[in-house]
Amino acid sequence: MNNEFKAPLYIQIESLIENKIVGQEYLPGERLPGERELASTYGVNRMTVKRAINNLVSRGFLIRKQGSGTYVKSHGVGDKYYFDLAFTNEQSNAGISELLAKNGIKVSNQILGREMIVRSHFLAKKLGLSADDEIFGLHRVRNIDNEPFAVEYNYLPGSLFANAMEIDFQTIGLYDYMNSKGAQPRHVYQRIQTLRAMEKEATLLQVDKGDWLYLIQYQSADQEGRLVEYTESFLNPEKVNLKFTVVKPSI
Amino acid sequence: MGIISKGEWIAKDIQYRIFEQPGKFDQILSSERQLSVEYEVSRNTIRNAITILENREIIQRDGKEYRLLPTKEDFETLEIMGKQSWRTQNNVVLDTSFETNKVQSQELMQPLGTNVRKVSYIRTLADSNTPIGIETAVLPTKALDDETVANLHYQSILLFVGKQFSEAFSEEYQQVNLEHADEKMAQLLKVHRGEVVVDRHSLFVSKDNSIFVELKSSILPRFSVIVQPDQDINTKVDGFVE
Repeated sequence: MNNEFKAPLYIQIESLIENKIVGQEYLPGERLPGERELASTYGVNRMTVKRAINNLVSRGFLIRKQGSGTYVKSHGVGDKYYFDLAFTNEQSNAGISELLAKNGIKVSNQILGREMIVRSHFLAKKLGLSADDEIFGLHRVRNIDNEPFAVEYNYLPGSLFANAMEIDFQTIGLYDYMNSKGAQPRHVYQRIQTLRAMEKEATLLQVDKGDWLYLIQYQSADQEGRLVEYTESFLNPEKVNLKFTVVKPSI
Repeated sequence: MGIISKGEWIAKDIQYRIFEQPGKFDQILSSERQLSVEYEVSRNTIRNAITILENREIIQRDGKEYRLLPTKEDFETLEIMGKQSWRTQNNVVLDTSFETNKVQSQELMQPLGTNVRKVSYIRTLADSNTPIGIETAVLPTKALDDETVANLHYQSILLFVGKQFSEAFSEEYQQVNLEHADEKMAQLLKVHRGEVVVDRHSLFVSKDNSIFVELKSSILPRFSVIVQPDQDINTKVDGFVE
């Protein structure tokens, strides 16, 4: 044994994980890999990992959630959730709720309304349709722990989603539904701006009129290049931080 | 009534018309009275639609008239792709070199004691000298020579990087937050203390890890837009990106 001058193994692991939290490789609210996975990553046994994690929990870096795992503690005021906006790419198209679910956060939806829309030149243009084509519109409030964090207006081409009016979007994820129709968003164009909440969105998000919000507009195409979605999403910046990982396509 | 209110519907329709025929803006947005006749709705509904367009910073009231605001550009994304954006000018307010400590090294994902150069500059609109925001960049010292720093007045850091090293980059990490301007930033940007700025924190790292750029930009909301383009989609929308 040549490590008598080194710190004990569990302390080395502890500081490795701590560094990743401080260096924001693990972000607040993110779920840590399982103990088994960490053990094999670092080539140590599970008890060592457990001990390192226990220390980080007691030092306030991590929190344990019953039955779902260990999470990096959110610091500062309130709990903010990181939105990785690169949620859709060649490899995956998780959708926001699935993405958050991976981090142990449950999203619930409140349906404001839905409709087959015709003769909106604006929406038709966004979806590459003609104004006479039907467009399925779905308006939702999205909640985490019964608190609204987003108001979302989704518009999909009616021809691809003919039975959308019969789907229970309170329980079924929009992207799951789109996947089931073979029209999965694969390419997403996103535009993000800030604006002040107008009466309607302020009320729905339970913020004051005039508070700052993010407005994200998405335009998505499926594998075949068909435009399958145009969405306007109003997000409360007090609840979410936006995060991206942009990987350049290899040429 | 449908899920889209009349005011929202008309706002979208006016937006569509403006972008189809930008030259006819004055005719399209002539008067509330004429619009209410055209859309067969009350003046109130028209006012509501116009408020939505103002709220989204598509148009702006100018006395009794409205004028079309210039399309916002994501200059960061444009510049990293090597494209010039709005004519902006930069005034360097900080230029320093150092070896990274532990925290800095972790932030940059680089070894301890990496030689870096840090520059900060205020970005302003070239013609009116209006401040847009502040950018702070950290690069390896060897990648950022004196001449480049002197040129920052005309060429922002990402444009330089985009032209010089664009091919080298494979990944970019970004975080966006809303922050409140502190005393010093408020002074530099000529706004009130506590006013909101859009903070964008990016880290570009080259495939072989030899070049990296950390950029923190704080941009005033009315100049800020973030676009995540997608090759396959841009070709479809033909600039219809408002």
